[in-house]
Amino acid sequence: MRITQSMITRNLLSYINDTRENMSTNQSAIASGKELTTSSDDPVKFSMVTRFKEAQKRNEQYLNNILNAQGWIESTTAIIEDLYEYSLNAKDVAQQAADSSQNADNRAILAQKLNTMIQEMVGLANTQYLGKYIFAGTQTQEEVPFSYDGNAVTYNGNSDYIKRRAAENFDVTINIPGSELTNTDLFDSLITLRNALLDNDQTAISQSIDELEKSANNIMSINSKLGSLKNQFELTKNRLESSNMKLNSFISDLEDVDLTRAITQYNAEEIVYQAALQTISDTLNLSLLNFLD
Amino acid sequence: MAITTIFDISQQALLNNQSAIDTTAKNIANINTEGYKRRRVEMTNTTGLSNVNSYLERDDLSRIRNIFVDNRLRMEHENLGKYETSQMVLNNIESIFGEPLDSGLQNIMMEFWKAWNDLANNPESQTAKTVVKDKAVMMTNTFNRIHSDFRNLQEQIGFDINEKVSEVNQLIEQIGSLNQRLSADSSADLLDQRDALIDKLSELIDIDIREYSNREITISLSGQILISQNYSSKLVGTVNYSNNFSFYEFHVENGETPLDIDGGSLGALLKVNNQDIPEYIEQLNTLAKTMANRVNQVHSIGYNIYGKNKVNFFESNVQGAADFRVSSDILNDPSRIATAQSSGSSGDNTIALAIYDIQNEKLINGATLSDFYGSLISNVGSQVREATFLTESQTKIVENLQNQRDAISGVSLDEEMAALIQYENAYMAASRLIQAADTMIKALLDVV
Repeated sequence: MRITQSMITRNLLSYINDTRENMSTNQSAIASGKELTTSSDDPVKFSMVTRFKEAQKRNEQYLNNILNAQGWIESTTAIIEDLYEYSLNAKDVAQQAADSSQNADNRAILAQKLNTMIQEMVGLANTQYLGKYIFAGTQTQEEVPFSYDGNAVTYNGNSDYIKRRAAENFDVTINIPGSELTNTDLFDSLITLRNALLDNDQTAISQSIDELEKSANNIMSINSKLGSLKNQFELTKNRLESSNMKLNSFISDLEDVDLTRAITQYNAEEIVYQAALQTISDTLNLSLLNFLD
Repeated sequence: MAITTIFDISQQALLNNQSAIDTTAKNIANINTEGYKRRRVEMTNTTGLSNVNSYLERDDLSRIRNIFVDNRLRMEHENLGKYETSQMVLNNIESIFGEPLDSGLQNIMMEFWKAWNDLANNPESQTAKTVVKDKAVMMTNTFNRIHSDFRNLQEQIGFDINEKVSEVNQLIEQIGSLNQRLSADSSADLLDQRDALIDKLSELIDIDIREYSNREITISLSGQILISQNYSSKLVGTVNYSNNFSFYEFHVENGETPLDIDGGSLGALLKVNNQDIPEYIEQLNTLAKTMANRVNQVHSIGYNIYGKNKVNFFESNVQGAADFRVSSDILNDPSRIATAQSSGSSGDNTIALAIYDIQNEKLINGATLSDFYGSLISNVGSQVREATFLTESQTKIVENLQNQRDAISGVSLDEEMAALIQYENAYMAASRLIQAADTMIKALLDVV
């Protein structure tokens, strides 16, 4: 084959350009630490990374939802525990008052004490968390959920549940609507006891001890429901966190650059580049002209 | 044989070698001229001895070329022009979508859904509603931006198309006039010039070339003749607009039939302009329309804190990416965003969750909104990748063919130097012959 000047120049320039291009690709990979920056780098990998990242972000949202729900449940639990405490105290009062040695005056004083307790418990049931009524169903910012007129405790909220998204296709109910509190008969049995105290009716007082006992148990069962909810959240949280860690390593495998490989390759290409330059300066000077007089 | 014949022969030799040196000079001078084909003086021994005056005679200056390689090269040039241009334009399209930067639509849609999730955690919050509104505005703005970027790109491509077409027409005119001149005068320089122009033309459009033995050439494009012996016809274009997007069509000056230009850089531009961009926009429109309708559908069931339902979240009757907007009701007062299934329960997040769930609904051809957009992006990515790959390999093919052509037609400096010495020596030898003949005649005359 005849080799002409234009071929020599073209080929040398083409080699140099190729090496330059490889060097630049490696260089930007090393500098950015990423192998995938646009879809055209590798459409299949790119769409995988996009999916993984979406899943990761969604998991982060679920984790955030759980954190948020945990706060709500913690404050609900604290109040339920307080209410249980109150119901035990009330039982003490009832037992004390049931003693035959008590007279009407003493019982009236105890009734007074009990009334204050009821007011305090209604106050507890009206607690707000972040400006929202905890025990109002979904009517979190409408009227005060529980009102007490001295004769009866009325519930003004609804019995709807509030849900939080804890994972893909997994909603968890986080609230105890006030109606469930009403259904424990706690307020009713307290009011019955107070009325019995005011009436100085020893039999009624003794009967109300059992009722209070039942109500206290009902409250307790709400508490254990909350407890299992907390466990559930904890489990889901762990699962989401470990899934995110896995996703992280998948994403990193796909889009992060293997630095050792990239740097080695870069060095190799640098040598090729230098060799090419050397060859060019040598080859271009070669000509028959140099040897003619 | 008369001694004077020696004078004739040497004189002929002198002239021939002088002309050979002249050709060598021309070759050296044009070593870097694009399209130049090296020349050679053909010297032949005359067979018949009838004309003793010329033992040697000079042929035409012949251009050394291989038609097969030349035609292959043009074909591959056409492909290179096509791939290079599509790579450039598709790269532009990819950067319009802007994935995977934070400004990418996929990311922004994700943010939009996340805002609904946060609102579901906190349906009473005015702030969360404002965030939902802000993210929605950001998302619709991005849709609008992509749409107008595509229109700007088309405008740019339109300029490019016009420029290329006037380049094509100029080339057609030049080749046409060279064609005419060549029918009268077959000079090597003119042939070189015409070849170079045809090379250029083949980078722009997909032409068929037919070369005849009398050096005339016919060039046609999708079956219609552009240039023939005494005829050349320019391209005439028409632009039609539908939905603000342009569609270019071309026909020859004296014809009506639209030309099917799909090669060369003009072909690549036409494909992106007439086919790719409208297709991408169509998909983007589908995405915007589906999202607007579905979100509105769910949102209008819900009640806001004013106890109102049937509120549109996005403007109703969204036609596509261009008019995708958050409704003015929501823009003016984000508290109008509905979260609850029933009126008067501000803690109810059913609707907010339902809207959050729209992202998982398979709304377009069995794909979720995000998957649909994702496949659009990976489609663009594959096209860019393909164009890049093709450009790279095509560059190698063209280089290889150029080498092949240069191996035949290119000028080699070493060869020319050697030839120079060869002809120089021959020239000197011929001079010596004249000197010898002169001496011989003198000797003869002395005898007399």
